[in-house]
Amino acid sequence: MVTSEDQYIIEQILSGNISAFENLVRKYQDMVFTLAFRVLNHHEDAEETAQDVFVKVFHSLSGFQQKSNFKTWIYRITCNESINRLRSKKNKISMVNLEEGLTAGFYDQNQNLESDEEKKIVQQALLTLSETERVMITLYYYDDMSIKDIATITEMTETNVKTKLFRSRQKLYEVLKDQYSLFTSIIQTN
Amino acid sequence: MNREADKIVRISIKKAGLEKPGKDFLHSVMSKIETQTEVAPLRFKNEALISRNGWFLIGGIVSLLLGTVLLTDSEYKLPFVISFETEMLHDYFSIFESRIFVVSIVITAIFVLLHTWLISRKMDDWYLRYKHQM
Repeated sequence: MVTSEDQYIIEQILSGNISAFENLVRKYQDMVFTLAFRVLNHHEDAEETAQDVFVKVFHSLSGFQQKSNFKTWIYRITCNESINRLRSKKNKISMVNLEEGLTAGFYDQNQNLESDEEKKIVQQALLTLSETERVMITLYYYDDMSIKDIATITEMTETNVKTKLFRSRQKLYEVLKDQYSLFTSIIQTN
Repeated sequence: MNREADKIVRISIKKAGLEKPGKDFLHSVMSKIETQTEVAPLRFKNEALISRNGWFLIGGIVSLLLGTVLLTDSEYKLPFVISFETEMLHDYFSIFESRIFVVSIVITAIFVLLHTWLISRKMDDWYLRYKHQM
C-alpha cells in the first residue's frame, strides 16, 4: 500500500542513507504541520510537534510494515503526538491564543489580502470544532482521505467518523454561511 | 442542503490550503536526527540465542530433574523413564538416577550461564567502545 516513491525512499534510509529522509520531510511537512496546527492551534507548538513526529518516524522506520499505508501511519503518529502535547500542556485555548495562532499561521505566507482574509474566515470557522473534528475535516476535505483511513488515523470507528464529519460539516456550514456572503459567489461560480 | 454544505466546506477547506512550517523546518528536523544518530550510533537489536519460552522450558526441565533427585531416594525411576520400556532407553536415562550426576549437571549449567552473561556484557562494552572510536 505504500507508494513506490515512499518505498524507495524508505529503503534508501534503511540502507544507511540518512539524507534521503529529507525527501520524506519535504513531501509530508506541510500536511503534518497542518494537522498539528489544527490540534494545537499554536504555531511554535505545532512546529515542535511536527519535528518530533519526523524524528519519531525516522527512528521507527525499521519497524514500519511496508504493506501498510505510510501516509496513514505518519498522520496517525502526528495526531497522537499533537493530542499528547495538548493534554500535557493542559492549556485550554483562550481567545488570546486563538488570535496568536491565527496570526502565526499566516506569518510565512505571501498571499494577497483577499486570500488571507478568506483563509482567516475558514480558520475561524474551524475553531468552532473540536481538535479531532478539525483533523477529520482537513483529512477528508483537503486530502480526500477515505472514512476508513480517517478512522485508522483517529483510532475511531467508521460510524463514529461519519457522524462526527456530518456534525462538523453542518457546524462549519452554519458559521460560513451566516458570516460571509462570499460563499454565495463561490457556489454560483462552481 | 447537505450537498450544498458539503460543497461549501470542501471548497473553503481547499481554498484555505495547508499551513506552512518555518523556513528552517527541514534543517531543524535533519539536525535533530543527525545529532541523535551521533549520540546513539547504533540501535542494534539484542536477539537472544534462547528465547524467553526456551528458558522457561530449560528451567522447568532442570527443576524437574533437581526436584526429583533431591526429593526422592536414589532408587526412584523418573516417570518418563518408566514409560520407555525398551532396554536401551532405560539404560540411557538411568544415568539420571544418580543424584551426584544431576547435581553436577545443574551446577555446571549455572556456571556456564553466568559466564555467558558476563562475557556477553563485556563484548557489548567492547563493541560500543569500538563504534564510538570509529
